[in-house]
Amino acid sequence: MKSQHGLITKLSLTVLLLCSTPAPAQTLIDYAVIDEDLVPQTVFSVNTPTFGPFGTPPAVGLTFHLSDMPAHTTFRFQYLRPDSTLAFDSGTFDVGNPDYTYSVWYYYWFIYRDVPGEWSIVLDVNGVTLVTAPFTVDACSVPNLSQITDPVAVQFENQAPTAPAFSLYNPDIDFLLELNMSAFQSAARSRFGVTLPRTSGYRPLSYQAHLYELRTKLINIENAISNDPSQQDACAQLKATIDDEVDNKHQIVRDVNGLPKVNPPSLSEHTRFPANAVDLSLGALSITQLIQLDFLASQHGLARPCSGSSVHFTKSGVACSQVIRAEVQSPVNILITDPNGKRIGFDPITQSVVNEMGTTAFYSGPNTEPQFIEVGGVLPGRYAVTGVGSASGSYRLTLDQVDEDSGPLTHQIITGSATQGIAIPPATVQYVPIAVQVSTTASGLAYSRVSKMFSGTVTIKNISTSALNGPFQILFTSLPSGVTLANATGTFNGSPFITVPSVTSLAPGQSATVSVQFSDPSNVKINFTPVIYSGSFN
Amino acid sequence: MSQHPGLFTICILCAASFAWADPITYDVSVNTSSISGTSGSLDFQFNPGSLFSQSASLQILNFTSDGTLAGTPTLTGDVSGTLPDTLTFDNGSFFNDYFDGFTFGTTITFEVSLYGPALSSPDGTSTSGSAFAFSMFSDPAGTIPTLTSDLANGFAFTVAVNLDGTTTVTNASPETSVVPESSPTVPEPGSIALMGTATALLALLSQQRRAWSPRGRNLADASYNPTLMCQEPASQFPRQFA
Repeated sequence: MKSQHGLITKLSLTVLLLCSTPAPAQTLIDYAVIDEDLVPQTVFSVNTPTFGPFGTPPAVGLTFHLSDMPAHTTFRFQYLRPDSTLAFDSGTFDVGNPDYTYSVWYYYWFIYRDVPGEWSIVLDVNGVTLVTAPFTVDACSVPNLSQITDPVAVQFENQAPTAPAFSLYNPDIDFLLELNMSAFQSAARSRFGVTLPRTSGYRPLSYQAHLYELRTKLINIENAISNDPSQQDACAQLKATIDDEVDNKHQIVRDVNGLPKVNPPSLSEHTRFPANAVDLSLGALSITQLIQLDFLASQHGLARPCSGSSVHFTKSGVACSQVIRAEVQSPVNILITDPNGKRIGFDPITQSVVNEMGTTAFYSGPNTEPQFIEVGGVLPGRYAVTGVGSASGSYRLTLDQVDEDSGPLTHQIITGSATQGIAIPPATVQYVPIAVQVSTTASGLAYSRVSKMFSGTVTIKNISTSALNGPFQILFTSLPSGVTLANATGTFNGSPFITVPSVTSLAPGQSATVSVQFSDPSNVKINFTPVIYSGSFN
Repeated sequence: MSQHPGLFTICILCAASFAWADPITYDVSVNTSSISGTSGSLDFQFNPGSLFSQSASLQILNFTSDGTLAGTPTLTGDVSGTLPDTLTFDNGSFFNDYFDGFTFGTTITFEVSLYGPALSSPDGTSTSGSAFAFSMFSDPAGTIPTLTSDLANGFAFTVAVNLDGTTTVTNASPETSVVPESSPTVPEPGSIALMGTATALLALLSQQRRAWSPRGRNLADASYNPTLMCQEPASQFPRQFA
């Protein structure tokens, strides 16, 4: 089936439904142009064809519905360029139908679509032309950016990179959040002498979708070039347009792959209306300053739930929305399964693409290089990342968790060797919610000349009005080089943690204290950023 | 406080009238007769915590003993003075330590005085306390703890400065007595002039305080701080970023 004509160019399909003159022996009831995934580009109005295996690289063809077919009917497909020259001719062939009188068919070929413009597929049945179906070929195989139609999103687009002022305050911001945030900003000014301007509040989902399309289009362009080097020139204009949007219009930071750091358009605290999150410009505050600021925020009913370098503030008790990103550079097709069993990626059983997570997830497709899966609105629990070799060779799987503002949370790199048809060792990404309604304090540290350790205590306290469920994990992030937590329970994402012993829940106002021992051979100042998780790391 | 309904009113008055410095002093006495003649060592340290500690200071006062200080002391961090004279620590550095060789006699007595903003005006935004620790060792190198049940760390007793300005004593040495002094708190020099205008009130306060803060308070309530409720509102002392 796979043809000989390898180079693929952009397919932008249009369909002309023909009311063809019935031939004496056969009748065309309906037809549609299909793409490489056998997806009709128009609704196939009578019967749905049976979808077969996916074609790679992209193909174009026809699905059609015939009646009154005589035995030993013949088909002939011709692909004509815009100048009517012949690009491909299947020749006349017998379809082998001794008994059919009523059938649905599909055929597709991998056509070297070397000329942009309006092409056509001509189908002859028993020597009679029943279909002349036009389709448009653009030079770049990646479609242009979608037009923004949401008028609110258009306002955001027009004012980029600055968020519209209305989106930063009530009523676009939740009323209580507005009150708390205003008081907090005022307190930060009067007590610490710092101004913390708002940079983002409400963002319409359609605008987030536009930003995310910048990322996925760049991925698709890279894949197109990888499959067909001529796409470098063909897609240059589209890429330049996207680059301009990313770097100049929106000024979005790029990741190590050169892709803009944008999350899938899942419903988040920024995209719901009114918004439940406000981003503040924190400048270059030190860890100590951020700890003080977090404490001040907690006194105003606010929290920075994503921890680390996040600029994302919410009311206390709102969890950090996360995104999982998997990228594989290899001959491996990957699949991610969420804690509820929903999947996205390449299903090795059916040999087909699955997406049971909807628009909050993205898959770049099988055999793309590199291959991406991104999942937004991550749920608490384990995400399984599996894969099957599509050929033999080494692979490199990168797994990242990022917060709602694309701030890095966890990072894993897994390497190995793949064998065609054989599963690679599964990996997991786990989301344990951060307990944002917990304050953390620490005692002074005393040095023991006996144990050669600095010892003290760390206390967590439920500052919410409702009970919090444990177990609780205290993660000691950003410890100075050379300092180790001697009595750690284990490590999580490269940082040591202590499980608070024998505490299954914390009532409002209740505290729990753990002893800590630090080894500090160089006598450097011991400090850390505490992050409290509710749940188990095991 | 509910048992003394008048106390709250008096505290409001004193907070409004005086800039109370709020040091707390512990009288420390150690019976070292069981190790008399041993050539060992003493260690004093006062350190902040690993998050953000408010400023605090500490002095070792009136050190007396029939033992003998030996060798040259080792001072690390923000500590000054030499025993038996006054030692002064602050928590500005991460590790502040005074270590000295010592040949034990039968007794050691000294006072530990803690003072500074962390005790007199807790800011409400700091996230770490500070800690004082006293240790005795039966070897000059300071590796073999003595007169303590805390063999893992070797501390005879510790004093924690808590985030609310109170202090907590943890005593692991049966031979050591750590008793808070019960004398009235000492006003800062700048507020002395104010005292002249509040003599009557001070007299009333002093009487009330004696009545509620008897000498020889039970050490089981070692964190008791008789002047805590007279602290000034933290908002009068805005913190600067470190």
